[in-house]
Amino acid sequence: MAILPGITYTLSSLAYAAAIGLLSMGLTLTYLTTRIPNFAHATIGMIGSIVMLLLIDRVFYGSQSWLIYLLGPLAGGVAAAAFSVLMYRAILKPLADRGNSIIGLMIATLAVDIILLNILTLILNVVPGENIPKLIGANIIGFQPKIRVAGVVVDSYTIILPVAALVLATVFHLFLTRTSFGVAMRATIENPDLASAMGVNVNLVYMVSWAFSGFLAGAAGALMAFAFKGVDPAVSALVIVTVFAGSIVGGLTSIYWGLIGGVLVGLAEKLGTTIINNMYRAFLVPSLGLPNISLVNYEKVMSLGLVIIVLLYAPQGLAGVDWESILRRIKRARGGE
Amino acid sequence: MVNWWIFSDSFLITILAYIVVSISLNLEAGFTGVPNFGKHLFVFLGAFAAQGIGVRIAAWLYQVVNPEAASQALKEVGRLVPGAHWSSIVEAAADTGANRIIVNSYLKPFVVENLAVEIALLFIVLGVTILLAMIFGLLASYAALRLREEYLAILLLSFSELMVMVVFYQTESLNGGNKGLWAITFTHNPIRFALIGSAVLAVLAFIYAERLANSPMGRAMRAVRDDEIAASVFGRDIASIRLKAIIAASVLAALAGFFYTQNNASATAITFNRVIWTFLPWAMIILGGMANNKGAVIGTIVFLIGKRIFEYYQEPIGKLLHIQAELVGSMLPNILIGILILLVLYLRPQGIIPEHMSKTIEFSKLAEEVVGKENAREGSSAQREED
Repeated sequence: MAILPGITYTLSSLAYAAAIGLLSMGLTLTYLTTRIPNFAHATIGMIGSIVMLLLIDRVFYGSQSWLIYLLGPLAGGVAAAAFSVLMYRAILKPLADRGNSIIGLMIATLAVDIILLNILTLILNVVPGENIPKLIGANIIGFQPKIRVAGVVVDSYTIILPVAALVLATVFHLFLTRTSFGVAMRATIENPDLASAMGVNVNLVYMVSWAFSGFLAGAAGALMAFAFKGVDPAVSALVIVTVFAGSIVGGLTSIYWGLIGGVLVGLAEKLGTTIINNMYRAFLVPSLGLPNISLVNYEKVMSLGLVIIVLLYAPQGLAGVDWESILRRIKRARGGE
Repeated sequence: MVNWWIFSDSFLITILAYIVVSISLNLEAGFTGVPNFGKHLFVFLGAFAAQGIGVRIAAWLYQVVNPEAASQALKEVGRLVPGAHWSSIVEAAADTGANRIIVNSYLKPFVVENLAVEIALLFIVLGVTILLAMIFGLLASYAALRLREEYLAILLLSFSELMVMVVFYQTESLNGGNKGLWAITFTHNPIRFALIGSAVLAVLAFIYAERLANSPMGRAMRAVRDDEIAASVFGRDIASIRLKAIIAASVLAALAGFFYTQNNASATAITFNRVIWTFLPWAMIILGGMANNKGAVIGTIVFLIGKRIFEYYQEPIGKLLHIQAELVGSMLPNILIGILILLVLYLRPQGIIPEHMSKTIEFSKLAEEVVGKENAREGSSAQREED
């Protein structure tokens, strides 16, 4: 039995990791600006998936056009961003202004999560559409264009998603460093009071950060619609665990480390579990007589294990690790040899 | 036993189980400030003790007391192979294929007919419930002593989600996985047993929580919640206060889960998900009032009756709104619950009954006591001087 998984599986793991990375990045962003851990984040991403589903149903049914990769994430992202801003402006900000504690705000995001989850399920059940009933529970992977990599036909979304994640992260980085609003945003993250004294509209910055966060989630959700066997909003209940794991591994203090943490956790869940499972079945089962069970279902153990290791050895997350001193120590050790 | 309007046995048992869980969550979150977002795991532990573990222990007792009948049972489910030893009936009892026949046709009659076995088994299973709850409570408190509020909430939610949705839901050899297992039940009328048991538990839990809240320990818990540093300056051991609160709350929640499972007679991990056993209790204590046991009870009752009325009239409401009745029963209450919570948080963050000062000794009595002590001390010191 081969230890390393095949190319199709590796690519879909990469796509999953990129989606989790985008979600963790958005979660870290809103936590950094408004200090609210958003438990509804994965369900907001699900809005993107539903928009993608409706787009395929109404516009792209039967045509395997590449245009869907431009329109889908854009439409899904905008829809999710709109909801995200609405959630912050209409619900969370009034609650915070009335002096609710952070626990109260967390409960509020859980409440929004449940409302949104049930509304999305209602939409899927109630919205009349010719093909929707066929799409629910079906595999919409057939509606995407296919391409060949190294002679193997692979799902094109698995190529598009990591590229999209890189593009979005780069655009966001340029926005933060090259525009004055981006600089204002970074200043607000560092010190809201000082930034507001310097004339930065802090409330606008908070709203923009929720919009960005929602856009990233919606875009990731739209592309991930292909990975789910049919779109079931309840998937978000488990995805949110992974997203929080990614953010904590990243440290919840830097959006770039949020992205990296999300990607790491996503890869550990998919590729890591499969490799461990293959090794377990190839070596430990025959030699030690352990039960021949599949470990693939236990992928969430990997993400929580990573979180526990990080919290034990680097409580500030990967962002809090002093990488420069580690690099210097490695260089010195090499120089000493 | 009860069948009037919306009230039935199982609805009453549900209310009582939720009352216990709300009181226990209030103990942790309301009084001590531990945001336990993973309550569903602790409730499931009680179910697991009755189902995954209780069934195995009952099967082992069956084999010890009555080996011939045990091999008869194995023959019926087609597991009697030459050289089979005692462990095979234990394995078969917890196997999804044979579990239903072995538990319902052999173990339940066996338990009900022998009073000694029944009492012994009940104590063992209750002991296992409490032990499991304490072990997982210790694990939770390991994190609770080290992490800030929001990290702790995230970690507890992730941990419980992992245990319930991944470990318990996926491992068929542990507790039937996604198929679930029939649980071991007690007495000829398990529903009556569940009703009485959960009623007794709810009353005891309420008395315990009230006494605790008004004791010096209760005041120390509030002090830890409000300001850790101040509490530790006044010599309170924060670690031990949190640990005690978490373990007491975990045991209460697991016992509630145990009696709740007695009514259903079977349990699957996914029915103990975070919406049903974590979010709803949170909603109830927010509605009723945090850090207030009466509020937790009233919030639970108001909340569950409102939800039940919705489910009861789902067909007329569905016709009115032109949606399927099942959707009215399953989706609309959840949406309304979410909206209700947001409204409560906005309009009345303190809940129906706000937190009140803990009861202490009246000042005049306190003064008398202190003066009495002073007099006694002065008297004894005067005596000493005389000596």
